Amino acid sequence: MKLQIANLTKTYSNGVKALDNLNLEIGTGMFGLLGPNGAGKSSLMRTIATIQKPDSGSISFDEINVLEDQNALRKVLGYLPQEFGVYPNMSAERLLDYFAQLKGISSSNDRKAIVKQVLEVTNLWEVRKKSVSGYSGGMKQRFGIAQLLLNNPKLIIVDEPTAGLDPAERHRFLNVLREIGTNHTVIFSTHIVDDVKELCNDLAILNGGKILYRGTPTEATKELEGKIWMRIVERDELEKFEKEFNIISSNYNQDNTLNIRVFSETKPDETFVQATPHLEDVYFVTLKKDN
Amino acid sequence: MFSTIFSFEFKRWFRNLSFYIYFAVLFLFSFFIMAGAVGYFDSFTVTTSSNTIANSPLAINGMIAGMSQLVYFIVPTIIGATVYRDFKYNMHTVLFSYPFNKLSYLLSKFLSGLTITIIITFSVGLGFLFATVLPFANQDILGPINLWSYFQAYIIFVVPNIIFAGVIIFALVTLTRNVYIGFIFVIVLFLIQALISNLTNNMENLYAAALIEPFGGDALNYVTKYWTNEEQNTLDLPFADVIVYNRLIWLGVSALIFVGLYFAFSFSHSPITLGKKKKAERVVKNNFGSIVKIDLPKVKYDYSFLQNLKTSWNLSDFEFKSITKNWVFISVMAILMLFIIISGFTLGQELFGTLTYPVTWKVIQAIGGNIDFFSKILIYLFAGVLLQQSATSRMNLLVDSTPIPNWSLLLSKFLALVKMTLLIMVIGIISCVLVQIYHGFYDFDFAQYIKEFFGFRLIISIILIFFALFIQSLFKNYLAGFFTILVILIAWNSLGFIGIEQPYFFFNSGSDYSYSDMNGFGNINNFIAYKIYWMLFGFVLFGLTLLFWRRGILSGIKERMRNVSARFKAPIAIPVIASLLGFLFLGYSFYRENTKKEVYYSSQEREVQSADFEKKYKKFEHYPQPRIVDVNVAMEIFPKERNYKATVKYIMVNKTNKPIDSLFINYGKNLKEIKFEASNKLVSNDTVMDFDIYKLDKPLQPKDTLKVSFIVQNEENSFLKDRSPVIENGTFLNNGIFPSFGYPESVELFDNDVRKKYNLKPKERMPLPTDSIARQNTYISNEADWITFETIVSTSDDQTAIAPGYLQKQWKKDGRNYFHYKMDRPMLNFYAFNSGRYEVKRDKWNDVNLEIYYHKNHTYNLDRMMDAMKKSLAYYSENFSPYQHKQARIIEFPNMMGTFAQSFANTIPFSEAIGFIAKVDEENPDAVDYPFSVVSHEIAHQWWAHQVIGANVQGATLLSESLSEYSSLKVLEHQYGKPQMRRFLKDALDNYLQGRTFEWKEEKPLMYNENQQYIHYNKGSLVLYALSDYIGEKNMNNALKKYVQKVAFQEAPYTNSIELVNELRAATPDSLKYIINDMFETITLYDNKVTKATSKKLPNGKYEVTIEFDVSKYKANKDGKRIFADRNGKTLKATKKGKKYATESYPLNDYIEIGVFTEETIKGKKRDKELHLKKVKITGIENKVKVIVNEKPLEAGVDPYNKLIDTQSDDNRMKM
Repeated sequence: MKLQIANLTKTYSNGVKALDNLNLEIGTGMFGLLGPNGAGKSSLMRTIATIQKPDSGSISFDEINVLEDQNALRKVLGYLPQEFGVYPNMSAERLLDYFAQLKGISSSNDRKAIVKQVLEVTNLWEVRKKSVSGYSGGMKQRFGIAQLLLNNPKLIIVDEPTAGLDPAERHRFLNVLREIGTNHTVIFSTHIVDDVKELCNDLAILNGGKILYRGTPTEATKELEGKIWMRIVERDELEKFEKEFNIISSNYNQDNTLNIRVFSETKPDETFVQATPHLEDVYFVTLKKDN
Repeated sequence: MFSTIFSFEFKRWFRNLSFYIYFAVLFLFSFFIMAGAVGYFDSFTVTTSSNTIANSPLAINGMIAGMSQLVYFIVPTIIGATVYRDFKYNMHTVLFSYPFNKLSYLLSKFLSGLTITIIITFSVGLGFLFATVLPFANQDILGPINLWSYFQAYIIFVVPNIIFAGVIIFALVTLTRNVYIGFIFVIVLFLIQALISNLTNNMENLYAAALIEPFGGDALNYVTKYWTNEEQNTLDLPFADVIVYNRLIWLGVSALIFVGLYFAFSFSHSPITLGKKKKAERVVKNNFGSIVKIDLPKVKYDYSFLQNLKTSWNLSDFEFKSITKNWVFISVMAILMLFIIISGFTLGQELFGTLTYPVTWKVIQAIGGNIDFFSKILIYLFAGVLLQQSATSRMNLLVDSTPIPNWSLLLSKFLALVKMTLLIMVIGIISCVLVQIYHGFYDFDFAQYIKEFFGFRLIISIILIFFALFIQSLFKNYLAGFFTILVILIAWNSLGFIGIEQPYFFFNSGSDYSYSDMNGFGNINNFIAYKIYWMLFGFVLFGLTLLFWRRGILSGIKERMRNVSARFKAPIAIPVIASLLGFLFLGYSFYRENTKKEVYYSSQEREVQSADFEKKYKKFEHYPQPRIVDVNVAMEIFPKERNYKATVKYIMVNKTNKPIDSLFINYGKNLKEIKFEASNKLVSNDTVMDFDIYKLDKPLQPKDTLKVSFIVQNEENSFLKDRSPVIENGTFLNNGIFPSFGYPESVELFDNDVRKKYNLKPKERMPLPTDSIARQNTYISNEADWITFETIVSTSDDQTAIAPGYLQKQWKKDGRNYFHYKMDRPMLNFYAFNSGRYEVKRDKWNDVNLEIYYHKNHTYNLDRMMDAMKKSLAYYSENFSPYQHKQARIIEFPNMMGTFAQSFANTIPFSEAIGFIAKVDEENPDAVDYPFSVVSHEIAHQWWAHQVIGANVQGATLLSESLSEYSSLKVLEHQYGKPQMRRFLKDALDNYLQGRTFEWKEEKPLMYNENQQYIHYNKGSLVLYALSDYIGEKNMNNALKKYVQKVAFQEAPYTNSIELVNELRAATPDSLKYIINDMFETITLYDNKVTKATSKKLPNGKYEVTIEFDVSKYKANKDGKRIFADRNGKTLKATKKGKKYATESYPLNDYIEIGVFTEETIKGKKRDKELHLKKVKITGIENKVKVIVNEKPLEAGVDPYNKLIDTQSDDNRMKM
């Protein structure tokens, strides 16, 4: 299973170039698409999910030419958009039955069976009779996963699914996702680095419609080994340090001092100590390079 | 704060495109309406003409009121939207935390929306004004341009009405935070209007009705109902009491609603909700997740065409359920039920207060309109709701990324709408049946229900669904889509403006169907042909909808157009092109059928032809022609094939004293051949005008006879077009289908405005009663006097055929029934042929055979009708002259051929709708037994037309219609007593007064009327009845008897109204002679009213009643202008205390009836009881009369029975 994206370009009518000659190849497993807000993640995801058409470029998934034969992809696609609603006053069970029909499950017994299964997987069985429009954020996201599973998709696209979830929900959500990811292609977009760290075996960092980095989390951190330095500074000193060093992140400590992390091939200064690179460092370093 | 919000909102609208779109659409609409009304499009179509001007204050107000119906639809999107936007974009969460007060928030929002709406409505007035200012108007139907006329309409009606509608919509939207509820309210508003007008129709107290109707239309109508043309053209909108009160009441209600809103509204984040809140429950979810193993069951995925089809069906259930759960749908249906209950309750009270039996077609007729209206509204609306459903609930991305094909989604929505329509139809049928049960009628015709609702109406709806889906699919906002659908359909149907007339250009139109108990739905081939045609159009739209289908996120029109071309591939392209070709082919077939197989003329062409015809042939108008003296018809009727063929032989005589050398024949396309038994030459063959001239080789000498024979046969019927008047059961033909001799004056253009355009002199009036040339003809025929008549009518073997005359012989041949009829005495050249499957009821009066030929189930009133025949024959024979025939027959015909009865010699075709199914309540004094009165009217025609026939001059119909009305009233009065007359006379008065307001030329006095129905029927019955009341029934009838003796069965010159009136005058005592002048020779109206009525008990137990009343009489000129001065310029005047203007009156020397009444209860019903009724002589305007009565009086009145013509008939009585 391989998703291939070549020379994908999309410019919106307001002049924003959401995708800029983008090339990407994605194989089986969990793929994390990391990028800040407005990087073009959703545009890319929607384009792959046949929701939006690019200006130019091509996408193929195995044998399927996605842009030409959209329905062929839709048969094997599970898509969870960044934001969605459902028909009001309708129970999860009924809605899933509806989606099961849209996804081509002809027999009503089959539908019953699979709806039951996806409800159980997403832990919604207890609340299956409740109306989805009344669900909490986490439940709704799980419902999103449930509907996505109905056609046993080979390609799964989830767009920033963990935004706004509480830790327990997020945890549960990621577990479900990982389970799915073992034998499917899952593309997972987020701006939360930890999500990717915990979940993905492969990642790309996207900004300004371009892929800035492509690799595995381990590789990524490995590349930065010995190049990340940190120290504690007073608040007033920050400006000075920012001018002198390539600060990639700064965090407050409880006593109002700041932890700063600096990217540098060599030790920038005696006061710095070497730090173990995190995926977050990779993210910031990549973004910073692009600026 | 107020001004900040106000100006922000206000300015926002001026930057909003929709403001300009609304303005432009309304402006254009108004412009074209006025442009059409003042004749802009006369070069494309028939000439516009009118007797009233198009820009009088009243006319402008009427048109603005019509346009307001569209304006109301945009009120929610403006006034409602001002607050709704805050909720929609969640601004309210921020806004409501700001420090401003409720009042200024609400008021500024409301007023800004209101101001914008009012500015938009100015487009209507501007559109009208603009159309009248441009130089293309026909100046004859345009008055002076006066801005004040526009302001009146705005100040009195438009603005207050928008305030009223606006404040309710504003309140609803603010409280529910749902703009759609405002929209639904607009629909409800229309229904309320219809409901109120329905209710007030049957309300006795029109004044109260005028107050409770919120838009002031009824109030205005209350005041202007009887305005004559002159008054309509010149008067300002009346600011009369009832209008002022109405406006104040409803502005007050608006203010109260706003105050209510002020208290109900709070700056909270959630809307008010109706109904119980669910019990709160503490929800704690499982916060500890576990790792799961995903092992999905193996299921079968099926993406085949068949499966998608099946899925569409299943999805449509889902969509359909969402409709039925939609409270908009539920509330509209609830209102529909309410409507049905009301229309069912008042079912069929249309004729003189008498109900009809709720036979199935009658119930469908009463309720069908509501169902039609509601189903259309719901289709237009829900087409959008369903299409936008997934987008509005933001589920579209989930749906759009599934492998369901577009067509399957569209089909599911289409099917859901069909199911919705079916549900409405089922509700319709159930309600109809319930109405029937409510009326105690159990003869349900389910086959008819099913055909009507699940057949015809469903087909019509499906075509609409295709259309609505297509339009709605182009819009993201379904209210915009809804509005667009309305605008398109209205504009489309107005194409007649620019001369487009053929039905195949008008969406979903074409041949209609109609039902009668006798003939079922009749022949529906043409209906089906047109529906197939529009259905194909629907398929094309379905394909287009698919091409334009919105899936995923579109970046703009360009991308949409790219999609269209990308999708235009075989699976869509082939069916679309095939349907399109089918549509065009059928359209072409209709075109060929209408214009190639027969000659087609547009109405404009026909107008030109009429003018040409007159110019070319008018000179032959008085060219002597032989007269028909004998008619022999072999009429073959083929009900199954719906054809007829008549072979006709005339014997004609030159009754003039000059030789006749030419014959003029005016014919229809049905004339197959014509032969004259005299050598002749066709010298002019005008196939455009269907007018031929034959020159006789040897002129026909005076008294010589000429035999003429001809064959007429209908043009062939086809699936696409019916060309025959023959129907399967209940055919009714008359001799109008035969060619006629001489110059047909009826072809001439009659409207002087139109005639002017073609350089024709104003149409001459109907000849004066004294015109000796015109008196050579009866008003029935100008080609014959009295004829002898014989006919053989044949029809299919299951039917009876009837024509005037006596049955000589009846036989069967070749599976057909033959009837030979022969009239034993001369009759008018006026006869008919009926054929149907009839039952017969027979009876006898003296030696006269009475027969009623009726449809098998229509037995309800046969006895009553038979009784009416006998009583009428008896009364007329005794009072006027002997009956000239030995039989009288009534023949029922289907209501699809009309709702009237017509009297031929001893034969009376009678529509099934005006008596056969009437449900007469003899106990109800407010309900006229119209089966009885119509029968006696038609029987009276055997005297008044078939014995006494007026010349073709002014006042001719006084001698036929008015006298028949009088005669039947007398029979009715003898049957039911005087109280039954009241309802009849009241309706006659109302119809007369309303008829005057629609007069297109000029009102004539009764004895000079020119076949004006409101005069000869309505005024005629009032006047003759009043005269008999004044001079006595016997006296009057003796005068009529003398008159009949003088003129019955006379030859030319024929009698006229002068001869009748002279006879009546001779019978009238001198003191009452003024009545003859008032009632017959001039147009005279009264304005009588009681101003004070008191009573006091006298020591002897009797009561003394003092009645103070005003009498005012005036004459009206031809335009309806009031004249108070007599020939010598004398006028009576009286000025009341505290009043500015004097009451005026024509000089009085009149006898006016004074009555005093109490109540009595007869059979549980309260009725008037006369304590005193006497005519007193009146010479002044203000009068006071004292009378002594024996019982305690309750009510006193001047002319209490409204025997005189009085525009304000409800102030003639006063309670004490």
